[in-house]
Amino acid sequence: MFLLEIIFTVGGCALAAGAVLILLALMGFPPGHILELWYRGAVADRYALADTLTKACPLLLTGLAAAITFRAGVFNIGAQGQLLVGAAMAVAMSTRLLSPHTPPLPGITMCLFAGAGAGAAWGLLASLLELWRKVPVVLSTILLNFTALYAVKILLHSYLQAHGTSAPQSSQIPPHFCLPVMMKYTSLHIGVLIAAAVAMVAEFVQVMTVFGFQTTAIGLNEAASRLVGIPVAARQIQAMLIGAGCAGLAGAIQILGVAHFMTAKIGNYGYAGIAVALLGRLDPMGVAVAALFFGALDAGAQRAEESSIGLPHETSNIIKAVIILAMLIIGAWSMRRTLRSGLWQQRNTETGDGA
Amino acid sequence: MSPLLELIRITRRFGNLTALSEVSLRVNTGEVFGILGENGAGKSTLMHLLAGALQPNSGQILLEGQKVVISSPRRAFELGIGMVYQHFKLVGTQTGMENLALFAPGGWWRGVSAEVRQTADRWRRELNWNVEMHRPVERLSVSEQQRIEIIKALSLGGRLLILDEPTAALTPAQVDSLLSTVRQLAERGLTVLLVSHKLAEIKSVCDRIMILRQGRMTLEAAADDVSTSEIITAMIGKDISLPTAARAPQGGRSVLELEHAEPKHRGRHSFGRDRSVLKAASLRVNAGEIAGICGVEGSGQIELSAILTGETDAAGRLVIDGIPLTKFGARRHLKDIGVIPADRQKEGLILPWSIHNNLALKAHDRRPFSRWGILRRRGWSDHHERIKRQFDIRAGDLRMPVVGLSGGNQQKVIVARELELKPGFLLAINPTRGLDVGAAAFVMQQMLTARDGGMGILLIHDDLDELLRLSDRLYVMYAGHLYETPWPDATRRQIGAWMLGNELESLRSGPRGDDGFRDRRNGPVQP
Amino acid sequence: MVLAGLGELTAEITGVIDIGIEGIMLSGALAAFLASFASGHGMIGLLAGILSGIVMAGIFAVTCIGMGADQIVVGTAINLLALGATGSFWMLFQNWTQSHNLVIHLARNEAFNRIPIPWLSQIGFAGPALFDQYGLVYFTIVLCGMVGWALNRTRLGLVIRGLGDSPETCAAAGIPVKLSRTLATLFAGGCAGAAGAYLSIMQTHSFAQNMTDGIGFVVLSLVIFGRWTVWGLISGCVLFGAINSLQQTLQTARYTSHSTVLHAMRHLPFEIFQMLPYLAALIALAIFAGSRPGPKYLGKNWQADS
Repeated sequence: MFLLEIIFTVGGCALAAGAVLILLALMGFPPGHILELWYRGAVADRYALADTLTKACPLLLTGLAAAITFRAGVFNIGAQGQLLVGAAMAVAMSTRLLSPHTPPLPGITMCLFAGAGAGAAWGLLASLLELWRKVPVVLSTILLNFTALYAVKILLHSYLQAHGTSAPQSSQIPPHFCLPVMMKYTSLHIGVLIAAAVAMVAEFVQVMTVFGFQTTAIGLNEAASRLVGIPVAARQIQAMLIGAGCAGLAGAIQILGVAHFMTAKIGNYGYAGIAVALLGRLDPMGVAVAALFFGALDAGAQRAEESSIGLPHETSNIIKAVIILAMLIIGAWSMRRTLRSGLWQQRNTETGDGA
Repeated sequence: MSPLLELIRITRRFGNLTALSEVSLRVNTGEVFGILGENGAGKSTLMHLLAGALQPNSGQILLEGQKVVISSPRRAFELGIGMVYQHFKLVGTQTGMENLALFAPGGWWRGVSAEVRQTADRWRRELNWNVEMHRPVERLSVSEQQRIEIIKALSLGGRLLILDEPTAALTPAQVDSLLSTVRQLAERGLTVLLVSHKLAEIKSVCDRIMILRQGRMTLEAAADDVSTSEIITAMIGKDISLPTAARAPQGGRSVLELEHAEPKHRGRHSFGRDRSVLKAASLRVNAGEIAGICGVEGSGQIELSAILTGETDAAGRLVIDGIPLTKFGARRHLKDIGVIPADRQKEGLILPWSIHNNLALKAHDRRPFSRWGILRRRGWSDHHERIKRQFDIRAGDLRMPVVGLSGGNQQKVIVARELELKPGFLLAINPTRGLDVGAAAFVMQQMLTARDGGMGILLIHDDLDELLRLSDRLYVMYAGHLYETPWPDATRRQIGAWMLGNELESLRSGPRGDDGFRDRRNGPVQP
Repeated sequence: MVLAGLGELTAEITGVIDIGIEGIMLSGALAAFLASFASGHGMIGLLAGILSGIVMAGIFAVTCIGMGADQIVVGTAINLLALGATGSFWMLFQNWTQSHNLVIHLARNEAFNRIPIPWLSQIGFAGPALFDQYGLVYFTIVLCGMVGWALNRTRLGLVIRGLGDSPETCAAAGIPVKLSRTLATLFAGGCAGAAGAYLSIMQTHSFAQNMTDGIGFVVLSLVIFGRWTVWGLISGCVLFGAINSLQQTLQTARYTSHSTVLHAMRHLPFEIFQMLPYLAALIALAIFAGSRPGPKYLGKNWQADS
C-alpha cells in the first residue's frame, strides 16, 4: 500500500515531466539538450548540488509549515505571510534591534528565533480568529498574506528602510550576522543544515510522539479524535504555531543566508510550499524529498534559462503544477477506491431503512 | 371506482437486507391512512418509494388505476404526491415563499410567480393559517416551518399528502392543531398518508391503518375496529418472554448522575432539526449495572448522548464517577469514560489508520504506551495481540488499515479499545447496529462481562430485544422525557406501549426505584 | 474585477470556493492577449480569454466536484499551474517575437476602443468615468444587474442559493446538485477569464508575468466582504477601486500640494491604503463570520446519500 503510493508518486512526477518535455519538444526545444542542461544545473557537480540544496531550503521549511498544519486539519495557506513577517523580524533584529557589537552566534540565534516567533505569532492570529470568531483559517490566512505583504512594505518604507534610498528595501545585514557559507563560490549556507534538522525533528515528532499521533488523528477524523478525548482545538493551535514558526524561520534564513537584505519581493516560497507539502504526502521526509526535487527543478531551470536556448525558468513551475494536478487526481482516485471497498462491506450488513 | 393509490406486492432490498417485502395496500380518496411500525420496520423506505427518492425492486404502483413509475421527486410532484419529510427540506436562509418557488415547476427565469403566490395563499386561506411567508424560514419556529412544508407539499402535489413523523418535534397543542388540520384536509377530498410511531395520534385521526413489521405488513384495518392492544401486538410481535441477563440491584456507587440536564438554549433560533427535543433529563447509572434507554427514534436520544460526550453545552447537573462537571462543555471527562459511538466509521475509527493505531487511540498518551510524550510502540504489539485474541478480532495483521475489516471486526476494535481501559462508566449507542448475529452476540457478551467486572453502562439502543436482554434497569424515552420503568418486572408489551406514549401515567408513580431517585422523574405526560 | 467577483460569487453561493480564480484570470489574460495578437481582433481575444477560463474551471470542476478532491488544494494547484504556464509561454512568446523582429504591441485599433455614450459621457465630473468606457465594462454592468436580478428574483437564483445552503433540499426538489455546481464553476471560470482579458487587451494592451498580482485574492476577500451579495460585492469593488485611486492620487498629491492635511500625510506610507481592503475584509469576517457565515456548504463537496 505504502510502496504503491511511492510508485504512483514517482511515476506521476516522471509522467508530468515527460509530458512537459514533449510539449517543449513540440515548441522546438530539443528534449535531450534540456535534460542535459537540467542535469548540469541541478546535480552534475558539487556546485550544482549546492545550488539545489540552497534553493530547496526555504521550500523545505514552508513545505513543513503547510504539512504540519494540514496534517492536523488546519488549512494554513498563510505560509507566505508568515514567511514575510519572519523575514522582516529577522531584518529588524539584525539591522536595528541588536547592537552591531553582538557576537555572531547569539546574534544569529536571536535573529532566527525572532523570525520563527514572528511567523508563529502571525499564524496564531488566524487560529485565534477561528477560535473566537469562527473565521475559517483558509480565508483569514489568505487575507493575512496580503496584510503581511503591505505591512512589510510599510516597514521597508519606514523603520527598516536603508538610509539614503527611497526604494522599499532594508539596509544590508551586517556581515557577521549573515549565515556562514559552507562552500566557497556558492551560497550554500548553514541554514540548509538547520532546515534539515527541523525536518528530522518534525519526522520524529510525527512518528514517535503523542503530539504527532494526536494531530494526525485529528486531521484524519476530527469527530473520532474528539470522542476519545484528544484536545482538538489545543492541538490544532499548537500545530499552527509550529507550522507558522517554520514559515517564519524560512523567511529569516532566506534573508540571513541568501538575500542579505530585504525587499518585499522575497519569492513565492509560501505558495510553493503548499505544493511541496502535497507532493510529499504531508510527511516531513516526503516533504524533504519533494523540496529537493523542486529545488533541483529550479536550479536546472535557471541553468537552462542562462544557456543559449533560453528556456524560460517558469517551465519548472509548469512541471510543478502538472505534478500537483496528477497527484491530486491520483490521490482522489485512490481515496475513492479505498473508501468504496470499505463502504461496500458495510453496505452489505448495514440496515438500509431509508436514507 | 378504483382507489387513489394502490401498491401491489412492492419489494425493496438494500444489499442482503429486505426493507420491504411484498407490501400491498390501497388508499381511497379522501382517506387518512396511517402507517405504523417500529424503527427499521420499513416505513421510511415505503415513503421514499412514493416520493420518488427510491425505486422498488419489484411490484407496481397504481395511481387511480393507472400504473405509474415515480422516477424522480419531480415526477412525484407531477403525479400530485406531496411529501413532508421529518427533517424538513427547506433552505434556511430563504423565505417561505421562496422555498415554495424553489420547488415549483416551470421556467428558470420565473421568480416567485403570481401563480405560486396564489396557490400558497389559497391553501393558507383554506387551512386558516397565518404563516409568515416572507421571513427566512430559519428564523421561524419548528411548527411554522412545518406549516410551510405542508403548504409546499399541497401546492406541489395537492392530491396525496404524505406526512413523515409530523408530530415528533411539536408541543401537544401544536399536535392537536395539526391533527385537526389533517382531518379538515381529508374532508375536502384530499388523501393523507400519515406515518408515525405514535399510536394515540394515529388512532385518533386515521380512517384506516396499516402496520409494518420487519418489512412486512402485519395488519391492515379500519382504525375503529382494532384495539390498541392488537396494534401493539402487530407492531412488536407476540408477547414472548425473552431470556434476560438482568441482575438485582448491586448497590454499587453511582458512576453517572444526571439531573435536569438539557441542551443549553442559545438566544438565536436554530434551524429546525437542531432544535432540541430533550427536556430536563434525570437519570442515574450505578457501578456494575447496565441501564438501558429505549424509545422510538427522535425521542431525544441523540441530544442525550451529545450532552454526555460534551458535543453540546448543557444546563443541569452532571456527575461522572463522583466528579461533578460544572461546565458541561468541557470534554476532559472523555479520557476517563468509554464511548461506543453510534456511527463507528465516522465517530469511532480513523479508517485509513492501522488496527494498531486505532486500538491505541485512547490509551496512547498514558503509561506504558508512552512516556514523556514519546510513544513506546514496541510495547504495543504484545498488548494488542493479546487484545486481538481476547476480543476475537479477525484480522491477519494489526498493521492493516482498519477500513479493510468487516463491520463486525471494526466494531470489535472500538469495543476492545473502550472496554480495555476498564473505565468506570461506558456510554454505548447502538453497539450492535448492522452487525451479523455472531459479532452482535460477542459484543453483547463483552458488555455483560464488563458489567460483571463493576462497570456502569448506559445503553441507548434501537433494538428492543437486545436492549431488554442486556438491561438491569430500563428507562423509556418519550418525546424528550425520561421515565424509569419497573423492568425486569414489566412485559415487553408494556414497554412497547410506553415507547409509543401509551399508559405512561402508570410510570409516574413508578413502583420501583433505588434510592428515592425515581421521584425526580419529570415532565408532563402527553395524552 | 467586478466581473471576476461576480463569477466567484455565483460559484461560492452554490457552495464551491475556487481560490484558483487568480490563476484563471492570469490564464485568461494571456490567452486573450495571444489570440488578439494572432488574429488582430479584440473580440477573438476576449473569447479566447473566456474559453481558457472555462477550461481551467473545468479542471477544477472535474477534480473537485467530480472526484471529490479538496477545493482549497485544487485551487492552490491551479494558481501554481497558471503562474508557471503563463510565465513560460510569455517568455517563449517574447523570444519568438524577438527572433522574428516583431513588436509586441497591440495596435490601438486592434484592441477594443472606449465607447463613449453620446450626451452622457460629457456630463460634468462623473460623465467620462462612467460613460466613456470599454464595451466590456458596460457589459459587466449589465451582467451585474442580470446576476443580481437572477439571484434575487428568479427560480434559478433560488436554486443557486439553495445549493450552497442546503443541497439536500435541492436534491429533494429534483435538481442535479453536482451538475448545477459544475455549471456555476464554469460560469465563474468564464467570468474570471474575461476579467483577465480585460486586464491584458483593454487596460494595459500588454501582458506581464503575474500581472494579476493578487487581484484574484482580493476578489475572493471582496466576495466575503460583500457577504455574498451582488450589491455588497459591487460596493466592495467600488470601495476598493476608490481606495486604490485615492492612494495613487495621494501619492503624488502629497508631494505637490500645499494643503496642510496632505502635507501631513507625506509621512504616512501609502501601503496603508493598499492594506486597507484586506484589513477591512478581515475585520468584517471577524465581526460577521459567526453571525452569518455565508453558504453553509461552502467548500464542502456533496455526495448523494443513496
